[in-house]
Amino acid sequence: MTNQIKCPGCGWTLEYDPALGKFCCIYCNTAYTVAELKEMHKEEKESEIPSGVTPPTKESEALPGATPPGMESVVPSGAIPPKTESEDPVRNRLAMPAEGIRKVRGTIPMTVLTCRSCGAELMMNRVETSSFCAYCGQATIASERLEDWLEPDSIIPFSVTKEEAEKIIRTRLQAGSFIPDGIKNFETERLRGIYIPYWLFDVYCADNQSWKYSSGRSSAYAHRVAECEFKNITTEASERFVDEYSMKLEPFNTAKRIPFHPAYLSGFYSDRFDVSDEKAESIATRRATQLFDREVMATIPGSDKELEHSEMEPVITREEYSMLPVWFLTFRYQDNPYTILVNGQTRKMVGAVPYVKKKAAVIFAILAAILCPIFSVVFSYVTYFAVQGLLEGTEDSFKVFAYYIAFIAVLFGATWVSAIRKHDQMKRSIGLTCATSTNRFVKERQDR
Amino acid sequence: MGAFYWIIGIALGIALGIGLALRIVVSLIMRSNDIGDYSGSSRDFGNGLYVLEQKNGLSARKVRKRLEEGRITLEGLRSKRGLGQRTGGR
Repeated sequence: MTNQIKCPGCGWTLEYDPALGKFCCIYCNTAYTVAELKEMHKEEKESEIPSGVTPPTKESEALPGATPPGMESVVPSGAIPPKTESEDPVRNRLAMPAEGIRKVRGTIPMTVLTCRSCGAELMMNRVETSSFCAYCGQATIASERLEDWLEPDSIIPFSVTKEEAEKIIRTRLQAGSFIPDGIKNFETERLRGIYIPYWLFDVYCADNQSWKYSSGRSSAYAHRVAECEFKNITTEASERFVDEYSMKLEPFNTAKRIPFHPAYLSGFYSDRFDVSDEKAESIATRRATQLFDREVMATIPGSDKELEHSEMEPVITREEYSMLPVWFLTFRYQDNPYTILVNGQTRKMVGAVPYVKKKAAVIFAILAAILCPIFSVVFSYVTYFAVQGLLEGTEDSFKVFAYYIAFIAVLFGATWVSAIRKHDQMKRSIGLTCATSTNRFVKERQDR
Repeated sequence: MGAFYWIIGIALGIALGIGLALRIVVSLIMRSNDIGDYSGSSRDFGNGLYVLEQKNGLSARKVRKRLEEGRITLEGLRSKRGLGQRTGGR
């Protein structure tokens, strides 16, 4: 079943406008707030009800599709009442209903839905919750995928418009001095706003730790008992979206999330979760542990700090299913697909693109031509004096020579290791941006 | 100063010069082309760490003793918060 949020004036589909923070009709150029829409829909329902019948009182029936809590208040941060395994439908019912599902392109099971406006067939993959009709172009919400156990608790609506997202990407790419002209002047293939499903976890960490560290020439131990409460650790809940890439979009300002309402999905694509909260929990606790250890390490003096003993047992104190906004821009460069992301709330841009190799080679050659002769002269003289001292055979000269060798080893190791690591990191980032899986995640949706 | 020292010096100088040049160029490229890297900070998800007990400069024997004492504090913390079991869930 699909639903569309209709304009009370002309009947065209309303879409959420991030710039206005309202639902707009592009046909008759009117805009409505959620409260106004709810009020109008309530009046409509009441007029349809025959006398003697009690009108619906649940707020869930104010707008089609789901059971929204109050729209104005922020989601309370208190714990959600616990549920047992058998009561918890999220854990037990991850599979979609089998009927209506058929294989398209041999790999992704698609569901055929019907557009409420024109009656055309609408193809959605098994996790999509909102899309567009390819025939009439109207925004459509798959409301059955947002009911009961599939309904998110909260949402951060888009606050960056499509035009702004493209401008952010173009401006940043134009500023890059190593970015090829072909990328700077890219032609947008697709620019899609997608609500990504996330699990948010509150994690409590307390630990009794001992750390070993170097203090001068000797080593010593430090003891800490500490606690930390992490709020809303974001864990992405979509199998098809690469975790490493999505993590770069963080942090989201989760304090600005509001209770979920399906109307916010109108005008954007969206997916429901297909990573269970159980699986996401382990990711969240691992992240919390890493963050906790990093914080404790910062309080330890000295160098070469090493965690010797830990009794960490992180505890999830609250969890929430939320929809967070992301813009995906795809383009092609030298036959490779690239997908750049923009955080739809904070405007943060994420992506890595290939560099101009010729320019990099010239700068490298110039730097090497300057640095190599300088270091050669310095090392020749220092080696000469170190060896001369060694030949004299005094105890101090042995020490000086040993320090000299150790210094060279550390200097070379640090320089080369850090250069290779940075290079690998850069390659990995470019790999994420041109990953076919991310491109397919954006591409394989119904075009407008 | 003999040729030996020059050969050693030039070899070391080239190795370090190339390594440093590579490091600088890669950093410049990353700054230009790798946008929006993020590794996470505890400040993004809370009010930070609260240290209840701390002692530096301990020997191996003393740190073992303090870990035993710390265990009591830790158990006290967990029972005070009632964290024996999961407290949240959909």
